[in-house]
Amino acid sequence: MEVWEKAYIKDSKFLESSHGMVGCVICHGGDSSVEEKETAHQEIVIDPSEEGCNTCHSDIALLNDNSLHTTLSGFKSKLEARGGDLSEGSALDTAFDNHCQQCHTSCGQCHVSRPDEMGGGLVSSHVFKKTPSMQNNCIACHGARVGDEYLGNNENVPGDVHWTQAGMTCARCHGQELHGTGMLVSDRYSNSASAQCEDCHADVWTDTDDNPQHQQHLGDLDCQVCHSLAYKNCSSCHVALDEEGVPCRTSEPSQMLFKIGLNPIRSAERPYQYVVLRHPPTCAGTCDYYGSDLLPDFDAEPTWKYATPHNIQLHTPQNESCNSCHGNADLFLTEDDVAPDEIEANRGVIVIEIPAPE
Amino acid sequence: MKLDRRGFLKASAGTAGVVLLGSQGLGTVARAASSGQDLAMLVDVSKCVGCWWCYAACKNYNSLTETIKPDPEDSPELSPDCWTTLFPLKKGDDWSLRKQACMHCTDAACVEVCPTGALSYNELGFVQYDREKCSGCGYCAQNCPFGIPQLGSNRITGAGVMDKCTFCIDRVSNGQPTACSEACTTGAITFGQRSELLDNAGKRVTELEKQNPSANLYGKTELGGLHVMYVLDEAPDTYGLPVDPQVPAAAEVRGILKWLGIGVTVAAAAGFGLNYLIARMRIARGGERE
Amino acid sequence: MKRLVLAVFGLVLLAAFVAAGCSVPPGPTPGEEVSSCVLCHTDKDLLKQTASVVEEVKSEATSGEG
Repeated sequence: MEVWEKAYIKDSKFLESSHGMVGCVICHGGDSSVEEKETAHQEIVIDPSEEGCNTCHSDIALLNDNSLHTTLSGFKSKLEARGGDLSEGSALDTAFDNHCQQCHTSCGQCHVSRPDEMGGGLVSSHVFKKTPSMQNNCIACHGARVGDEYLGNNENVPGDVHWTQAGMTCARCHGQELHGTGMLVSDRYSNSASAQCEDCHADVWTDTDDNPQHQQHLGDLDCQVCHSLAYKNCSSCHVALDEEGVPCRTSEPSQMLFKIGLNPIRSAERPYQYVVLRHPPTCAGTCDYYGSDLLPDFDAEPTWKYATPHNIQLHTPQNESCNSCHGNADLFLTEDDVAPDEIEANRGVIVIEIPAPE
Repeated sequence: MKLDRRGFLKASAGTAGVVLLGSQGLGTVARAASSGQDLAMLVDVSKCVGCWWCYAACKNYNSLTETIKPDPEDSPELSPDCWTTLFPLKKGDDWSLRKQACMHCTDAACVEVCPTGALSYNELGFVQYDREKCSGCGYCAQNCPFGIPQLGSNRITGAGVMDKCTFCIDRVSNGQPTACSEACTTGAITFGQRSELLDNAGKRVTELEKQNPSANLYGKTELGGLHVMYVLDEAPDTYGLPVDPQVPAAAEVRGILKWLGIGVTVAAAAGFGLNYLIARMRIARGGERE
Repeated sequence: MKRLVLAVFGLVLLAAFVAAGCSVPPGPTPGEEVSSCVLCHTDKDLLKQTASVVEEVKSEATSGEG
């Protein structure tokens, strides 16, 4: 998006809407009586939604204030679980502000413009969109993993059937849950309102007469174990500031892998024994630039995480027959799949005994 | 023509009397505006969340100087550049806000005292004004029980004209609602037939009274009936509204004095004219005698 | 002569006052779109002209995927 395009209001639709009929200054400040740009933009507020939506949309704002997109509590909880000190001004806190904080989104960055992380810019001539744009908002940030999987951008791996066959956008499954439940949660799987396959496919629990595989494995295996394909796994991300003090990062090239492991977050809602695991970029030395041993308890959390790859298929190599999965060591996360310095961290998820062939 | 002093005095008193009665008659016609067909607004303070969009819409529509959303701590005052604002009432940690602007009274003191007729009643019930006719005398500002009219002031001469809420006369005459009521996000400001709004207001007050005995309706009969009425959750004076406002006695008197003044001036001019004619006649007659 | 000068000066002063008094700022015109924000931000060409070139603050040192 060109710089000028980011602030261009193409048609009058917005100006006639309830948000647009009261002039620009009430939210953005500035001076609407002068034509000279610098003077008009004095004390301008580029993103008034950091504070401004709460007055009228108080019920949503109350929930959203504690959402993952706002608080980034998902990142924070993992860092703290690893012994990280995120108190104000600490080394880790600085690292967080420089790098992780970029993922924070305000109301406007989903509903009016593109996220700051992507350079901002009006998505729809300033019209307030109840449902954010899949391409401009969701995939703008969640592109490398989920976006590419879902759309089928990974080589040799088809896209998710919900997209390729049903044309469903992100919002079809992930609606109000994104505003959170009002409570601070430690990760996205703790959100009781998050999307479940059963929301639409509840019949898998009742059609087991026709489906011996479901009969056998429901509740024991996560849906993705049988219905998902290879997905991106990253590693060795290191963040730093370059010579000019600009935040930067490096990481190893990603690998397309499919690994089944033990469920690290077993609960009543997720009773599965085996689930699909993904390796995110984090490593013990991720924040080394900012200080040594900033995560003293790194092994407290596995580095192979509960994953729900968005490349669902009905038929996959591993669900062709019993033995395409049973006895197939490649599919499972075994000790030799895990980097030596991460084995301790992943004790809880490494599969020691692969299910035997039938 | 023979006209002695007594005759002259009788004639002028008679003229003045006729003129006075005439002006009273005009007043009665003007006050009949509140017939039930007139338009009004109802402001329900309990529904206001303090978004300031009524303020912003008014500024935007009337091309006044726009500002960023104000803080209730620092609520803007009414001015020639600000025709509606929010009167802030601190309630614990929170604020209760009352939209404040011209009340568009049925018996408007400003209309009564305006010497140039710039302020007048519109047939739809509200108080309109013609900026071209305003002399900047400030009588309206001095006599309004709510302190609404605001006068501008030229830095050198002090001259200025009055500005206030126009009830969006251009919009309203075209069947559109006022800008503030349209912009209101919670429905705290409603616009429509005054009789209908009164009905709704009554029901709302009854509803509020269950939780809050102080709930009341302001503007039903005050000053002949206001065209901006309030459903309040506290006594009116808590919200800066005068209890039982009246058109100031001075305004009433001024109404009379205005016509008396005109009458006296006319009488004086007539007197001069008559005197001239009589004197000329007498001089001519005196000349004849000699 | 002195009186004439004084009289003329007085008249000029009076005229100045009257002129200043007559120049009451024009009333706002309701319904007209005079907000410069909208005038500029709906004009593609004007935006292109006045757009500031924002330095992309992406470090050269960044590599790998996001």
